[in-house]
Amino acid sequence: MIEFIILPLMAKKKSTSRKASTKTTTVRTHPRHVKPSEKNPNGITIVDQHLRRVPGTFLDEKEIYKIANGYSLKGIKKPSKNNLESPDSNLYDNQIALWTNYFNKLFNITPALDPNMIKALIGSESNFKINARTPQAIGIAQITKQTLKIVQDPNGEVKDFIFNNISQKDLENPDVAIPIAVRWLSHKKSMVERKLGRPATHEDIILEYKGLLKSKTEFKNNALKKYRKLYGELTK
Amino acid sequence: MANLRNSTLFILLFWLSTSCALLNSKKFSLDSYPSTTGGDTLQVITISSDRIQQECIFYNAEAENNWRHQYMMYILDSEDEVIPIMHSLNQNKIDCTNQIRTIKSIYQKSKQVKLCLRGDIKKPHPYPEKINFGKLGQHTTKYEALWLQAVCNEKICYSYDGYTNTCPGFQISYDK
Repeated sequence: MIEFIILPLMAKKKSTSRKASTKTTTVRTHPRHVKPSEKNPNGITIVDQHLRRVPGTFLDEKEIYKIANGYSLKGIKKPSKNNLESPDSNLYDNQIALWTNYFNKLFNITPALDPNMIKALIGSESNFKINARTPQAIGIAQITKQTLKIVQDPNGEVKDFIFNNISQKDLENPDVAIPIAVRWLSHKKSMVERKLGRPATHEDIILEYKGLLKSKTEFKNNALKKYRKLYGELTK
Repeated sequence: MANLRNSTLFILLFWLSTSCALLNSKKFSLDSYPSTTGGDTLQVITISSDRIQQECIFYNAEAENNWRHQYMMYILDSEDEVIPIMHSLNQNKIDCTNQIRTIKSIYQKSKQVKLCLRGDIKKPHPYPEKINFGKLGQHTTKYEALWLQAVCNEKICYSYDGYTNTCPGFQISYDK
């Protein structure tokens, strides 16, 4: 019986195969038990040396639920419960509050993201329909397939904190889609501030999320119409 | 004899003007239903089919948002002023053009249709534009956009979602 030998090393040490960062550890070559097959008749395969994300720099579905289940909602800012058109509009307030608070703290976002902004964005994207789907965008926050790739890319634009093993189907689950949307929105906030060279307003961030920051004013107004209405209802 | 001729002429004129008024009233009529729960006002409009135009506006958004299209409907009111109507969510090209096709098939099968819209009727439109209504000419958008909820002829309806059942007098037999 061969035991697993996983030797994590803080990856400040240079890896031979790939450049590592402080967000990863190197897992040395090790054997792994598998179902016996023609290729592996003895039921053992060798896993090559690879990088593994350090806990706390990524979220997978299991970790999302672990955080959500243990998070205290006491004292954190929740979105308003004003009567919006959709009967489902208040169903996801806890997830919105939790993940907005989580990423505000994690990235020390100043000024903090407003849960009402997140709620109005979700309403403007999907009317709070969890299974809203187009060939490009999926779920309650209408996260695109391309965005899903970016937020899971360890070398991509949000490599400091990524998601792991999230499928397109998972985006129809608001428990998964909401943290991704908030994380993406926090990234969009810093992007828009870099682009504009000033603190971003909530509408700047929403326009960047919708890819319309540089669009014609008329398009921007059209695109913001629903968001403004919902945000107005939530903050009045 | 002259009196008889005059009274016949009067009756004929009266009949013509009444008929015209009736026809005009069918071109466009509006009933507003303020919400009792704090939501949007519902606007129920009966309108002649030739007073409707539709388009999908491509937003040409950046990067991963390049799919965004905005469905627009334009209707001509009794003063020949255009009320724009938006689908409340962005769509991709296929969904938007399918929606245009479906709604067109509803209003083309009937001389008039009934619309259920959400929002307040307010002037002016922030970015007035000319909309071509074919035989009825070009007219300018004068009102702020309303939200599309449902379009029905005598037989079928197109409805964006299940909230249409809150529209007074709307019975949905077709839901996308």
